[in-house]
Amino acid sequence: MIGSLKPALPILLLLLGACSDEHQKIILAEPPGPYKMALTVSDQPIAGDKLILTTKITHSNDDTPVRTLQTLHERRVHNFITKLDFSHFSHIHHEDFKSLTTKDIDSATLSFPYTFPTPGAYRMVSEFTDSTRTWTKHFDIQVGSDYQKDTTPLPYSYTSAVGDFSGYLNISDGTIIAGSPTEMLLKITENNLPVKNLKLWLGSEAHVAIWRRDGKYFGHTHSYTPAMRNMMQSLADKAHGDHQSPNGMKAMMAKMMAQASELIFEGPTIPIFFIFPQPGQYVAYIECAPGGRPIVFRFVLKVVAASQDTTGHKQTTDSLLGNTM
Amino acid sequence: MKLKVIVITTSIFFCNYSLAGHGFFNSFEGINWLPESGLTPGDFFYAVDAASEKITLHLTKDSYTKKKKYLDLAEERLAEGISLLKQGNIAYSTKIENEYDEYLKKLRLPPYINEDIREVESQQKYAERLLQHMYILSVEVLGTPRSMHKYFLNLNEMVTKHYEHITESLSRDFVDSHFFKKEEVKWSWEIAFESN
Repeated sequence: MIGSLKPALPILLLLLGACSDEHQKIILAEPPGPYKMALTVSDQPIAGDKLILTTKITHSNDDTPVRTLQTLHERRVHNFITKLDFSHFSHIHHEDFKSLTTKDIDSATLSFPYTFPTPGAYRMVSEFTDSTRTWTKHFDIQVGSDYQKDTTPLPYSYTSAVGDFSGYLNISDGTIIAGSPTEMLLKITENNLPVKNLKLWLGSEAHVAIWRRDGKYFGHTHSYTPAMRNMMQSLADKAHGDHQSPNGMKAMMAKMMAQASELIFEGPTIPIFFIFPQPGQYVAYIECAPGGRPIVFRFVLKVVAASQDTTGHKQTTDSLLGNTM
Repeated sequence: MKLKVIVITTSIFFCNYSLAGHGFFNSFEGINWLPESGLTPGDFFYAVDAASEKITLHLTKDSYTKKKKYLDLAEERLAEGISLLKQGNIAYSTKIENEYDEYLKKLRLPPYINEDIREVESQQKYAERLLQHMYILSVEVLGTPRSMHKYFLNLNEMVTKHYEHITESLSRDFVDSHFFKKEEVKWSWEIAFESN
């Protein structure tokens, strides 16, 4: 029987291939630019189904794979998935599931399994680094069809609970102003006792993913280490010299990026530094690992606009930076 | 003096750090890119397209809507210009630069402090968008032949000039809130030329 099917085997395989392609779609990332990123996913993703999300990064001008992607914080491509009502969040990578192979690297094609928990509109932001410059791309993924888009404002929240853990986010100046440096302090407790056993997770004590409520203005930052403070200070002390040139800065950054990760903040507090680009409501997910087990806190923050008073001089750049030093 | 140094050095640091990954700051994530360039000068139906733009503008009476259209048209010109430069085509660069310049000129307020809050808000939006144009140009220039760079720089110079004119009449606080964004744009240009 099998023997009689043998001549038809190539045709059967071809048909199977066509069927499998039929159920996949390719979504091109926004924004465009010198790198093109494509996501292959089921053409009708269904909540609860385990799917494979595959990304491929190519040079826009000739479609060749970007073979020189750099590893940053232990991963080649960092993917942040959120449901756009901000009820769900994931920070996920290819290497969480399998080691990178030469083929993966040469084809710049990475994948990971993922299960969207509920129907809705999702956004995946993918971050990668090439030639020491990091690029951010995003994909919009619709899961199911029976859902309503939710854009209502969320209640502001500067505390967050995950099991026995609680996170408290303190804004150093009380108010976050768009375009101004903001220092925040995350305090973590477990059953009301300060957590003192934080571990590094993907090379940092904290991974912070930030979106504005409308899904725009994604940001990704980490704990604000003394090394960063010192570097800023030493830069400030050098009125003259190479460090102000792009090459000098690039070299300094490369040096800093190449340094081994070091646990600085064991708890209960982690300082975080960020500049929110626009006013509005923002959602900040902060991932940290007490005892090495990652948990994610969610905060909803208010960012106000710089004053519209045309004669206002309250918040000059000098004073803003003065606040941070 | 020391504060000034801090301003300069920390801003460069922020931008490098953010763009080198895992940053304190990422002002341009998720911004709307330019529209598809569609027809470009030299295409057979381009003249028809241009005529229909003029008719639409003529029929728009409300000044706010009209300014919005000017911005849309400026963006179309910019998209066309970038598309041609990427192909190494400079035959229409002067025409495109002039039209881009003209449309951006129409966005500007007279040089007095306007009390109309709606106008102030639109001017802030235009300033924001023009800054995004500068960033987009700094990204699109990547990978283009060296001979095309001066045309990208011409466009950047033009949009910078209009941005500065617009921000002259806006509040100091608003202008200050753009400080890091401008540094990020500047760095993006520097690193683009270094990469190229």
